[in-house]
Amino acid sequence: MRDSLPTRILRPICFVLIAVWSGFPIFFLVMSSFKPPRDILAFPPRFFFTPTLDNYTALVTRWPEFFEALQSSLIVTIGATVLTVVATTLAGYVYSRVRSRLLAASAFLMIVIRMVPPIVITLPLFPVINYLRLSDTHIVLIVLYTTFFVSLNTWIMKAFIDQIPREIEEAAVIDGAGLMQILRYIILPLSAQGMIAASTFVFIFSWNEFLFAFIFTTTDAKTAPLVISEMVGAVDGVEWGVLFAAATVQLIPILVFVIAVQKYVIAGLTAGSLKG
Amino acid sequence: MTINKTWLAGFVGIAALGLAAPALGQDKPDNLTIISHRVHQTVSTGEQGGDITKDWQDANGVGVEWVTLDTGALHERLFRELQLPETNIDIAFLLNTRAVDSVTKLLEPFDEHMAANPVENIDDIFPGLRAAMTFDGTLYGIPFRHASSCFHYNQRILDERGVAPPKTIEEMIEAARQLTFTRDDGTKVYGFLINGEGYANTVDLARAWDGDFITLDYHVATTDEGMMKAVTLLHDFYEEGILPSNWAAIKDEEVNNWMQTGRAAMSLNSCGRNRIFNDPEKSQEAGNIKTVAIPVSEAFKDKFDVAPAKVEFWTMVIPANAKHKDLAWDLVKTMVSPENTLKAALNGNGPVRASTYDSAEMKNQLPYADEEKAVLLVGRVPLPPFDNAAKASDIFVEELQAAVLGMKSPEDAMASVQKRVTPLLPQ
Repeated sequence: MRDSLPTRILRPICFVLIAVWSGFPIFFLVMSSFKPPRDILAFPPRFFFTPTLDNYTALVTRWPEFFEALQSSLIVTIGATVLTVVATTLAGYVYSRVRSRLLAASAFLMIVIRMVPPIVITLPLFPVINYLRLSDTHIVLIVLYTTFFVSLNTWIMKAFIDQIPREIEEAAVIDGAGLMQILRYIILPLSAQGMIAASTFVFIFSWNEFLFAFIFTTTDAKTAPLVISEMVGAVDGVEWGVLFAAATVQLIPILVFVIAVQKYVIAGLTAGSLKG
Repeated sequence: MTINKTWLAGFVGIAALGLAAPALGQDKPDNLTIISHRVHQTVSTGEQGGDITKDWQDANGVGVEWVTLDTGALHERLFRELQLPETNIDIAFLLNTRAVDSVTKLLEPFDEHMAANPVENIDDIFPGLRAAMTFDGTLYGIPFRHASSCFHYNQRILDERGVAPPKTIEEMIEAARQLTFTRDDGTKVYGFLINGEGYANTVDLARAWDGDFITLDYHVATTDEGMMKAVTLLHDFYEEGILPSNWAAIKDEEVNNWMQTGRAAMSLNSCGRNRIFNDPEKSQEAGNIKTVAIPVSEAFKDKFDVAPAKVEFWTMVIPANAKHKDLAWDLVKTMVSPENTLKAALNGNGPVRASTYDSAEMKNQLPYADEEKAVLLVGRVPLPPFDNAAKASDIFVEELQAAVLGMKSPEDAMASVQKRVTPLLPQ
């Protein structure tokens, strides 16, 4: 059926409006990072300017800790993503293939835990983490981020693995395959799309997360969002150029990652929506 | 080779030293950890004055590790660390408004340290600042940096409109009216602008009539003459279009930007903002912004030379649960010596010693040095510390905005502040 005339006219207009609405802040951020500082918030606004790398030079010279924090962000993000994907793929497989009351109860418990506001858990955890001498380590952030994404990602992986016909596994069993071989040669390759989708959520969350990093890190494991928050909170005036340069640098890895995996995200989110 | 008594004694001595080394090491850590806002690190280690901790580090063989956080985050972290059995933080920077009872009892009292290893010429540190960190006669913090309010005006706009720099608050009010106009290109210039989301600059304005929000003896003074005049004036300015229509959403960063772009002619803000208002790399009005003490009302000229504006300050404190308190005190003492106070000032710090303002280097660096000193001699904190200070400030801002925007009369709004804030004060 052909769309009506108003629909055909309105659709591209809406598309452009949404694209501008979503894309303009990013465009403004990146453009501003190449403007001379006095032109960034100039009035009237200056749309034409000679690009400069001064803000990036200032970022390197005045905020060297930002790049150390980026390294920390990368370690924590990759660590949390890998750990989450491994744990949730295995959990998703069990939830998909095994039926028991205990498992049903544990699935419910996971959902409940996900609903608890993080701040409720983090503050009482502070003295415990401190006592265990885990404060200001990457491992504490990796474990916390993983913990908060295990429930959601387990359900994503379960939905994905549900779509893999059991008959393939049964055929493998007849051919003599054990559990590990089934996982390695059947489940993992066929659920790779779901793993990528699941990893996207934890990757983005871990890269941008502030609260846990703020509470549990000091210097060694300090992540990039904490340094950016310091730039915003300057008591002697915000250096907008440096701030925009840092935000642009911080944006690049996540942008590249999301663009690379976006089609899997859609597939992951719609997994299980059609049966049969 | 035979082993005689001398050799034997030498071996025993070396062995004993080897055994004792770990124990000695415990007394002297590799580093002392300072938790602060980044600005404290910048002014302590800047290029112009140099690193004020370097000589101390060299002399003691102990390094200094800075942990920097944003203001809110810094205090939140510090308060959590103070409640642990032991903390790795040796020195912390604390804003004066956060020095409430529940916090100070977790800090190291300084009186014994002062007696054993005193700060050089402590009387030179402005008495008001020291008094604000003295509780029940005991000193808990050594002031390091202050932010005092000044009056900033754009000389170019004043010249353009033929207005002389105001000397009294009454002249400033009249000037604000004359400096509000629309340029040929349609750009509106606002005669006067202050932060609309905070309470501090309104207190500054009230101080022109010696007014207050909450007095140092914990009396809510919003219905007294000084604050009423300030709030009524802001309401009138808003009605007349001297304040912008989005005033209630204006933050300090917008005030900076409007002054830097010539969209606001006059403002009340920290004296140190002069630097960024006149920075050619950031400001379109570099060189045009003058900074002086906030003018006092004609009626109070006999009492004050300048308005007793807001003075806020950061102090250095030592957690009671810190591990190396004597060493930390020695570093605190070093950082506020007269010599290091000047060095930090040259790095951009607001110095807490009166003598620093008299130095030639300081006068060269800060064109408003004398004005700032004048403020420090009469200024006082905008709010005394108490546990509910943040809640009280929120109430004040809420009612202030209602009054300025015309949703309530200034009288009703300030009476409401008094009614709502009084129960929050220490009894």
